[in-house]
Amino acid sequence: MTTTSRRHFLAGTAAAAGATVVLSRTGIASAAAPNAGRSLVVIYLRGGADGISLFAPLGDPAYRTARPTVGVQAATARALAGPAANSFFAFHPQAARLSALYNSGRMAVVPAAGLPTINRSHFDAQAMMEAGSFGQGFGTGWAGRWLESTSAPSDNVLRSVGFGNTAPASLRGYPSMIAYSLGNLSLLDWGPTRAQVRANTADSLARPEVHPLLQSWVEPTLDTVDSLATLGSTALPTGWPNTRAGRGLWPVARLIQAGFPVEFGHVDMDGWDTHSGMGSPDEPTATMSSQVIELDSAIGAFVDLIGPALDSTTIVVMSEFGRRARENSSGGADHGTAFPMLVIGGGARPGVVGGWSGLATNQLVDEDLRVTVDYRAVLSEVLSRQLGATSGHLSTVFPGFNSSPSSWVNVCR
Amino acid sequence: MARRLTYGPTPELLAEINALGPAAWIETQLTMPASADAALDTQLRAAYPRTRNTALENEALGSVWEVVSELPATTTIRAVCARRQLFELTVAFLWDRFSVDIHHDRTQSSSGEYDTILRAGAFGRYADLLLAVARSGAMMNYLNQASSRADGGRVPIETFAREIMELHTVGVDGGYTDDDVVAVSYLLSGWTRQMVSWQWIGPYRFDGALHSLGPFTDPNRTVLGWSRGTLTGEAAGRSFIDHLAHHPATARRLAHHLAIRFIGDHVTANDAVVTAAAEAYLSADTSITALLRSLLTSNDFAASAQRRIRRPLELGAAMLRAVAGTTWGPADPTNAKWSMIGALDGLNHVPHWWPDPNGYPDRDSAWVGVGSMIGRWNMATWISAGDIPGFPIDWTAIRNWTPGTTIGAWFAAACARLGVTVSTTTRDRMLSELYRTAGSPLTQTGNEWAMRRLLTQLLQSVEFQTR
Repeated sequence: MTTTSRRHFLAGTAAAAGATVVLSRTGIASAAAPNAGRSLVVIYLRGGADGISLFAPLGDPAYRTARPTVGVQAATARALAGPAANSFFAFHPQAARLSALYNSGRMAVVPAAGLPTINRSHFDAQAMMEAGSFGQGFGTGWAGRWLESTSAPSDNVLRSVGFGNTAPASLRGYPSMIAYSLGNLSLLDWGPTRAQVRANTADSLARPEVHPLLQSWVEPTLDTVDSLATLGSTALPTGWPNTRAGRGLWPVARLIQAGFPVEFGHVDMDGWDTHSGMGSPDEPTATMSSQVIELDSAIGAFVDLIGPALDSTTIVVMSEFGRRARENSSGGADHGTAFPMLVIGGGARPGVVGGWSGLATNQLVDEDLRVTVDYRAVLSEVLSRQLGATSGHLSTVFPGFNSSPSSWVNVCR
Repeated sequence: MARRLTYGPTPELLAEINALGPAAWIETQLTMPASADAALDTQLRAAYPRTRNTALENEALGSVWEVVSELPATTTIRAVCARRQLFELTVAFLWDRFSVDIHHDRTQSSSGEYDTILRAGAFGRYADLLLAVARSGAMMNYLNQASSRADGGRVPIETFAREIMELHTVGVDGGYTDDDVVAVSYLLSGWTRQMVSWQWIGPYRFDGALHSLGPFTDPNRTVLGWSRGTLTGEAAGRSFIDHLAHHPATARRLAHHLAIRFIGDHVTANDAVVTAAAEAYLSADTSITALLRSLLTSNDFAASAQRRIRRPLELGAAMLRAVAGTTWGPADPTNAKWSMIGALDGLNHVPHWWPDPNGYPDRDSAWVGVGSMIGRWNMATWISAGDIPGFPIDWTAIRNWTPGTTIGAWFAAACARLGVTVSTTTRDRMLSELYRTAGSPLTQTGNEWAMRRLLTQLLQSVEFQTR
């Protein structure tokens, strides 16, 4: 039986609706990947993470004025030590694992990254950022274009995975494997078997008019279920943080640890839209502290599980925007602009890079911290230095953006 | 048509459509009184009281968090059982358009009354619904409108001002700027709820002491073609919301999104069918039913059967309607609600559980993938097991889908009923795996497990997953 490659089906529909391109696809063994066995995991903080709480500019004299009640205090902040010690910034008191990663020389922080224009709509900012194309070729995402531009017919469905809600817009343009958990990737053992399902779907696969998009997922799904059956138990291990971030990162970590060819992983973490009641950074149960702990502990568990594979894995933490410099009357902060991007992994070049323009009133732009580094510069550098992207690839990933090394800020070795 | 305008065909429904003809049947759906589902309402109110209570009633009743699981259960049961099927589909659309996170501690207690508001307005004027949502406890708390104030030089919270334009009406390209969002946040300052036990869950009220016109102090300040003229205070805000509902960009966007829902996601905002529906909406003073009537009686609609994937709730409801019928109960409400939520949660489509203001996605591409495909196949196994409380499967009735006496005759009847095509080769293989041939006698005893296994496999088919 011939099978329909999902990837080429999608490429085919873009050219001519309804035209199916029938190709064979292979099993789990991946072809020589352009990324040389490296992985990129993006953790997206949905809602606009308050960057100056997570990564506090304690050395900025305006910080205390801007954040009189919810600001991080020097006495409890986690200082930046190690090969790139820095006394201007410090991590949130609850970010124990993140600060340890920084101090061990495996993290670069770009404290004021962001979109090139101010946009305070969650959905608009997320859409622009995840598209990465600013009106040119809207409809596909930057990661989707990266994966598609470096794809091969033999791509495995696990090349690009996401665990959480639905597929993020950044992955549009390349059919990624999106699921709620690894446990959702097996057939109930008291229902029809994989072989039966495979045989039964032959009838509809022979009738291409029956929803081609849905059809195109039948064979890859069954192949994946076969492969994943070799993983054994996929339940969340004891001690692993049972949070949204933890549940999202666990399967990515497990797949990387087990040597599956995961090149791109995407995990969402929501709850960052803190318009009110952020609370004291020193109080672990306060709203912002809980968010930081959830992120911090999930990344800690991830790093612990993959162990030496961190040398070939890069984690990027980003958000659609930061929040307003000044806290508001409800003890929160409204939508802002710049946010800190974290680049974590063996390939990260330790340090705080990219500049800081300050929080004093005359240094702000429309009440917001000024963006000093376009988020696309950070991603371009990671894709190039860690995953082997060429300038040709980058011009597809971020069309219209100067993604050459002159825009980079040295977040990677 | 029955696959798109209901949660799944039943023989009774198909007979109704055949008797009336499509246009007349759509009209009965658009005009059927709420009393048609009165018995169902009563049953659900008894089982899940928090879903119909006001916020204050829920606070008095206690265990407010139960509503977070009660509401998805009632929505699922209504999807399967309600006679007003098109109404239920419209309410589901509106919940996505006016999405609130019902898990949030600020919105929980109000989520029952919010469902009541959306149901009351679903077949009315969009202008009325928009105002009701703007003043609802759930939305006002979710987007922090209730705590927004502009007195004493305070800067109001802009979230709701932004979303009412970006998500609820004209859309992000509708023609407003970031400065306009700030201006509208002033216009709506003082729109709040009475505070009860330190929560804004009492009745809506306008508090002039918290209000400031801000940039609209200038009577000529214009947003989206509206300026306040001589209006001030609450009246100015109401006038702006009414303007939003009547804005052509709102009409086109609403028509486009409903066209995507009912026709297919190939429809673009500039298609003639969208233009016609938007005009129908505007000329009928923002009537949602006028918009639907225009869309659903169009040639585009008639020509687009089975272009859409059934989202998980639609798939689960269609399976239940096909194999378990359209009545619910008796059942233990707690077991029932968690059973239904469990079936949908792995597919990320528990009704009302979308955490963001933009609602569950309505593009087919958002609902395909390895995880969702497996989940769909597992849902067929799960539902045909008949273990969802209140939706037992009557195997005697299923045996009687055909008057024939062979399993082959029954199989043909089942395929027709579910709208699935199976080749003779595949049928014979399925039957041989069950130690049968098409000519095997179909007695009631001893064939239940075979019918169950066959039904599971038919429900798993790609065809059944489309609408």
